[in-house]
Parts: sequence; C-alpha cells; structure tokens
Amino acid sequence: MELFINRIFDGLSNGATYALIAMALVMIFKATTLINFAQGEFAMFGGFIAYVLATERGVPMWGAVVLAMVISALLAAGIERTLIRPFDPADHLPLVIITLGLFLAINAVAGIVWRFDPRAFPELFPSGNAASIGGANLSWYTIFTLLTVLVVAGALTLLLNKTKIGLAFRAVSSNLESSELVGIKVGPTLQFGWAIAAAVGTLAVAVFVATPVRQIEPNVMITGLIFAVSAAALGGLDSLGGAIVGGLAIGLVQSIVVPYVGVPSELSLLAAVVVLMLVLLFKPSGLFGTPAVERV
Amino acid sequence: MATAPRFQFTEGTPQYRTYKLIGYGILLLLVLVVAFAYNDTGSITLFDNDYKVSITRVTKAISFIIAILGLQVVAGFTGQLSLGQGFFFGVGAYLSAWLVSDHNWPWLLTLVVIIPTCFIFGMAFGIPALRIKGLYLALVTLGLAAILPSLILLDKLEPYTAGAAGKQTDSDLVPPGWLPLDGIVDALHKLPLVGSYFGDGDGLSSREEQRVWTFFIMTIVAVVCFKMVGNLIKSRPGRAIRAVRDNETSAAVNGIGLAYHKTMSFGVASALGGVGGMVYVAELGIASPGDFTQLLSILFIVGLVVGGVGTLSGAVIGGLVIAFVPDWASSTQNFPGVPERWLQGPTGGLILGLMLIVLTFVLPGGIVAGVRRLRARFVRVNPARPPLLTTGDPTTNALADSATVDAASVND
Amino acid sequence: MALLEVNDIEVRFGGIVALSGLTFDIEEGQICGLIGPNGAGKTTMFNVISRIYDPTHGTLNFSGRNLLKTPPHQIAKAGIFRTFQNLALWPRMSVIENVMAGAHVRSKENFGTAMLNIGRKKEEKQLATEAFSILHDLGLEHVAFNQCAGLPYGTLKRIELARCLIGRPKLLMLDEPATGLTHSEVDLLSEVITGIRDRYDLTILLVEHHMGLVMGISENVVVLDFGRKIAEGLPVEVQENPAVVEAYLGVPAS
Repeated sequence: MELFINRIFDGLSNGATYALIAMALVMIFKATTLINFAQGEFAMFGGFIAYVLATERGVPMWGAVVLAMVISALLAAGIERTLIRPFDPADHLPLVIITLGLFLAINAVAGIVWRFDPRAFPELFPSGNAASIGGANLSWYTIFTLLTVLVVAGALTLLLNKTKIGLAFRAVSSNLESSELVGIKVGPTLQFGWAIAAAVGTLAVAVFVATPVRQIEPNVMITGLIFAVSAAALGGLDSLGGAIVGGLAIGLVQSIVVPYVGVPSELSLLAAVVVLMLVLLFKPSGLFGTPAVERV
Repeated sequence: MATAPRFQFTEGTPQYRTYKLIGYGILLLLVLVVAFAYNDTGSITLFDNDYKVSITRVTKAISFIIAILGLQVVAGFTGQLSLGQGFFFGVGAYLSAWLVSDHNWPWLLTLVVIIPTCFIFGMAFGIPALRIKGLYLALVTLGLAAILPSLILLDKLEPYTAGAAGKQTDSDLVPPGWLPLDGIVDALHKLPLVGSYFGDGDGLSSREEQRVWTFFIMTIVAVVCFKMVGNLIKSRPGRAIRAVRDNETSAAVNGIGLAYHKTMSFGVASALGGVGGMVYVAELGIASPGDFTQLLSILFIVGLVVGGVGTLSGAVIGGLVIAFVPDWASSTQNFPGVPERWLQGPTGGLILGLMLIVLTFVLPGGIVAGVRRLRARFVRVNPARPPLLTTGDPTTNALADSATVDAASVND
Repeated sequence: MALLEVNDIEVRFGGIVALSGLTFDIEEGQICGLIGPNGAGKTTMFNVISRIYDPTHGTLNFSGRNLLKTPPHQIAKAGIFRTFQNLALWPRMSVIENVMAGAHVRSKENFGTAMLNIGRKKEEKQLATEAFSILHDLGLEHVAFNQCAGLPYGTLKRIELARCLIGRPKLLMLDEPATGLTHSEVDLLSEVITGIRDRYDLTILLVEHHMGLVMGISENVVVLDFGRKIAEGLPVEVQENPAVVEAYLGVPAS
C-alpha cells in the first residue's frame, strides 16, 4: 500500500513536468496548429542557461531560473521571427522540417557547449519530506512541483484573459484571417506565444532536474518530449487545463499502470505512444479540446 | 528560358541511348574506383584533419541510401510523413543479425524473412495513417521509432538480441574463389599516374577482399531496389500513390483506393527500411540498441529533405550526406578561425540541423533540385510522343485554334 | 429505362432539408442541365450521385442498379466520372500522367507486377497512346509532358475533362465548368461538351450558373429551388415557366 502511494506521488511529480511542457506545446498549438518538435530542446537549453547562471555566475537559484526564462523567451522570439514567420502558417511541411532542424541543431549546440556528462542541478525547493501519508513519504519536491504547475496555469490564464496581448492571442488562435482584418498584428502575437512557450518549458526542465535523483544533460528531454506530446494530445491540444490533466494522467500511467500491468519500465514510453495513438485515432480533440468541424 | 540547352535528346533515339550509356558508364567507373581505391587506408587531409574515405563507410552509406529510398516511397511519393523509418531499419538489422549469427543463414537469404516481416509491420504502421494525417502522423511514427531500443532491451528478448551489449555477427561475406580481386587491384596499381591510389601493390588481405566483396554485393542490392522503385513510380500504382499525395479526394473519386495505396506504400517503404538494416549490420558486424533510436529516424528525414523529397537520386545524395557529414564533422579537429573546443562534440548534428533549416529557405527541393536546375542549362531530354490513334481532326477545329493560343503562352 | 433514375430523394443536414421529393430521369446519351438559384441544392444532388452524401429518403438507380449501395471510391468503376468546381488535378504529375491516372479503374497493374516489371508494358503503352489521343482531341497534346502546376486555367479545365474521358464514363458530371471562363471560352466549351458527347458516346449531367451555356446545349433542364424541383423540360419550356422566372427574378412589385 505504501508502495502504491509512493508511486502515486512519483507519478504526480513526473506528471507535473509533462504538464508544464505540454502547456508550452499547447500555447504554440493554439496559435498555429503546429507542434513544435524542438520544444523539448528549447526547454533543455533554457535549463542549462539557468544552470550556468547559478553555478558559474553565482546568481541566486530562483533568480537564475527567472533570468533563464527571460533569455529563452527572447531567443525563441528571435527564432520565430527569423525562421518561422516567413512561412505560410497553413502549410505545415516546411515548418515541421524547420522544427526538426532546430531539434538537431539545439541539441548539438548544447552538446558542444556543455558536453554530455550529467550535472547536478541545484535544488529549487526545500528538500526532505513534508508529510507521511499512509506510510509513504510525500516530499516537498512533489508538493512544490504541483504547485508550480498550478501557478503557471494561473499565470497563463490571467495572461490570456486579462491582458491586451492575451486577447490578441486568443483572437489569433480562434481565427487568423479575421484577426488580421481587425488589425491585430499576427506576427508579433505568434512570437509572443513562442516566447511564453519557451519560458514555460525552461521552468519545466529546471523543476524536473532540481532534485538529487536527476541531473541535467543535453538529452534530458529527448524522450520527455514524447511523453509531453501524449499528455497534450490526451488533454486536448488547444486546452491548457487539458494539458495539466493529461500530464498528470501520463505521469500516473507511467508510475502506476506500467508496473502493475507487469510491463517493464522501459516500455512506459510505449504506453505513452499507445495513448497518443489511441487519442488521435478515436478522439482527436482529446479530453478537453475543441473538436475541429469539417465542412464538406 | 533565355537560351535553349546545348544538348537536346529525345527518348528512344540512338543519341539518347548513347547519353544514357555514358552516364551509366561513369557511374560504373565510380563504383570501381570506390571499391579499389583507398581500400580502408585512404584519407583526405584538409586543414590538418584526416577525412577517411573508406569502403566501409561507403557501404554504411548504402544502407542509409536504401532506407531513405523507402522514405521516398512513403513520404516523397505518397505524401505520408513517416518519422518511423528507423524502426524498420533496426528491425531489419536485428533480424538479420540473429539469423546470421544464431542460425548461420547467409546474409542475402535473410532478406527472404526481412522483406515480408517489415512489409507486414509497415502495413500495420500504415493503418493509423488512414485516420491520422500530416503532423500528427509524424508524431505517432516518431513515438513508435522511439520505443525500439526499449523493445530490444526487454529481458524476454535478450536471448535473441543480446540486450545492451549488442548482437555481434562474425559471419562475413566471402568473395568467391574465382573472382580475381587481387589481380584487379594489381592491374589498377600499375596504371600510370593514378596507380598509387589503388593499394600498395601487395594485393588485398582477406579482410580487405571481404570488404570489397560486401561493397559489390550491397551495391547490387541497392541497384535492384532502385530499379524496382523506379518501375513502381512510372506505373499505374505509382501514379495512384502520387495522386493520393497531391489530392486525396479526387484520387478517391477516380477510383483510387486510399486505404489500399497508403498501406501498401507503408509496406514497401518499411521493407526497404529493413533491407537497409540488413546492409548496415552486414557491414558493421554488430547491432546495438543505441544505434536505432528516434534520432536515426530524424536523420533519415534529414537525408530525405537534403537530397530532395520525391526524387530517386535524392535518396543517394541524402544517404551520403547523413553517412559522411557526422563522421567528417567529428574528424574535424582543426579549422582555421575556430577554437578547438568548439569542434569537439556533435558538430555533425549541428551541421545537419542547420542544413535542414537553410535548405528549407534556399532550396526546398533539396540538392537534387539545384543539380537539376544546373543541368537543365546544358541538357534537355524530350519525352517520346506516343503515336496518335487516329489522324483525324480534333473534336472541334475551334479547339485547335485555341490550342495554338495556349501553346504560345505555355512555351515561354 | 433511363440511365440515371432519381426518385423522391430527400437529404437532410440536421434540421435543414437540402433536397426533398426530388425526382427526375436522365436518358442515355442526353445532356441534362441542373440549374437553380444559389442554395437550391444542385451541389447536394451532385454529391449524392457521387456518393459523398447519403440521402435520408428515396432511391437512385444507375443502369438499373441501386447506386446507393456503391461507396464513393467505387463510383468510377460503375462508370460515373466528375469534374470539380475548383479543379482537383494532381499538380506534381505531368499532364499525361494525370490523364493516365484517370484510367486507374480500367487497368490492372498492381504493386507487384509494377516493381518486378512483369508483363504490363503493353497495357502501359496502350494507356499512354489513349491518353495522348484524348489530349490531342482536346487540343492539349503540346502540353502533354508539362507539369500541371503553372498551366493556364482553361487548359487545366480541359485536362480534368481528359482525365474523365479516359475512364470511358457512362455518365459524365460537370460541376460548373464555365466558372472563370471568358465569354469566348464559354462558347468553345459548348462545342467541346457537345463534341465529346458525340465522339465518346456519353451522357452528361451539368450543374451550371451560366444560362447561355446550359440553355444552349442541354436537351433536358431540371430546375431546383429550395431543394425542390420546380420545373423540368426543354430549355425553351423552362425559360418561359413562370415559377422559374419567379425563383430567379422574383415577382414584380405590385
């Protein structure tokens, strides 16, 4: 029983990371119906910036993370402006190729600059356990990662609903042509989306590796991206709330369902892919997304 | 076009045949040169870097070329973006490694198992493609490619796959006794001017002979694959899959079964992926799970795009690029103006990623598109006109008039 | 027995009745025009025949057989071919390849025989010859080997027609063929349509807004308004029918 509860906690804390990356994916998807294959690498790179700022420049840890979020947002905005905007948003193929190229390039740059040996990331949250429930230890880490998800979700919701640029973003997501016609500058609005997504991703990686059991290295998000994509699809690719539900669900599937079904842990990735495939086959709009209506 | 190309050929004429013959002759010469020159000893030195051009590397490139050829079928010609070709490459590699080392099968015979297996798995892959399109198909296939290493590492399969250590094969392709490879190298070595490139004059060691023989066999395998795919594209099913690529709805309305053609296309592509895997393991001698991650699938896409989507020669260029660029990039330890520290690490990945991005802007049709544009300045091939069934007038004379009007504007 | 028998067809989309009680016949060899104001249901009827929509009521017989049992990807095999209003060619293939692909249902080469190059050379040669002849017929043989992308609009329309013709259709459905054509091009089109009907032994169903074209070449005209048939007959009869005039022009203010 205690093992089971431990597994729930593990699942929730992993799921929190997936939820955060999934939220980043949803931000870009909402605006452009594009899945950014390089999202995981953006996030990883941002995480490394935080690492460098904290360990080599002596910036206090949380300050480093926030600064890294800002820097990665600016870099992503630059990438959107130079590499994404020149293309017709409706034609996915060149954009998929470009994001694949970014995937390779950013991963390689991280490997060149920081090599591949894993590095311990300073902890962001108090260590140790907050409580003991049913014999299992609920760590502060788990509590705070979940809290981070809620805070980010809250912040994004505020941003989208209470600010002018958030309004523009929602307009562009809903109908690009109409938005252009009413004078909304679509380019900068999309750029904003990419920037926010990158910032959220950076936070996700920082939170993910800020624990003694994990380290940061350039390949940290290679499989993580697939979990996050499954999470986003499960929750609904244009739903932020869905991304949270999806992320936590995938995390729980990974830590609970997989061991209990007797599937070896290596296949948890398979479980996530199966979930992704089933969702896309049978309910493409996911649990909370808006279904696409097709006119014949 | 301002000036007509210098050489114009019409299909079916003797001059065209000569042109083609010269082309094939040059290719054959290239194959011979690669086979016998620099046999595993050669390298080009640039800026103090040693760039190896060995036959083993070329054979590895051939395995990639075949895999990318498969991608051309499913993605280039049928329009289904599959990021899962690495999966079938890995399956082919492991299947053949297992058959050869555990059951002593000859390498080429393993194709009898690999081709149907990968074909059927590929068709299964194609079934989600019927409902999931474009970007989402890319995601699902990427996911499927990502799980291959974990499948290989399953404890249950360990007796077959040798787990993380990798499956070794000691069997090599041994050239037949009657083939005087030694003699050929000696003869080439005696050639004036270029002789020194062909070995050291002391014949070939048995290991070198095996390498040359493997190269020849795998080249033939590749040529057969290319011939078959070339036949496919020019035929009824080839037109059908390209119709599916260009406009599914009108393809269906014209009687082209979407489900059938998509799944068959996946099947063919996956079978080719498996063949590539066999070539890879035959050359490398070992199949390890780390070689077949989703990164490999992405690499194949790089080759597809860099070469030129929807072309056959693009597969050749793409395969060569992804085989040599990472290899040569890591051999580059010195480059003028760049501090040495930046040259260590995965520079190959960086170059390939940048190539993808730059090509999308500058040359979306890939390198082949650029080459074709260049070639069009010098050579044009006019297709052969089929005979007319009747020599009667067109349906209306008025049409013939309007035709000349159109012709004037079209031939600009 | 008429080639196409439409009987009491009703099509509903949720609460909206797109077609109701629609009954008409198309005789073999006839050119039949289907007209009506916008939203009358012409495209809906078209799509019912090409089996993209299922009617909620009624029967549809083609050559005496129930067409409603045929799925959309098999109407070509049944002998029904159609053009699209917005052109649905395959831009990255050449013109002649587009046309040859139109004969997909009539040919037999499959993946295996194609890749191994077994015995289909004759069929391929025959198809190429046939395609080229049709292109010649329509005045297109000079662009036979060009890629479709980039050719003028009128040319593309004729290519789509050629693609239908090679299928040896029994019923050829033309979806607003005059759209985007100039006055003289529409005159040419009239000649082309009647010409191919004679030369290729076709029955033609034509949805069209251009009155000159429809009235000029149709032997039977069916007029729809709000999903119902309001008139049918010879062009001259239909043109004088008060209900038709009212549907298009309204009633004079009293």
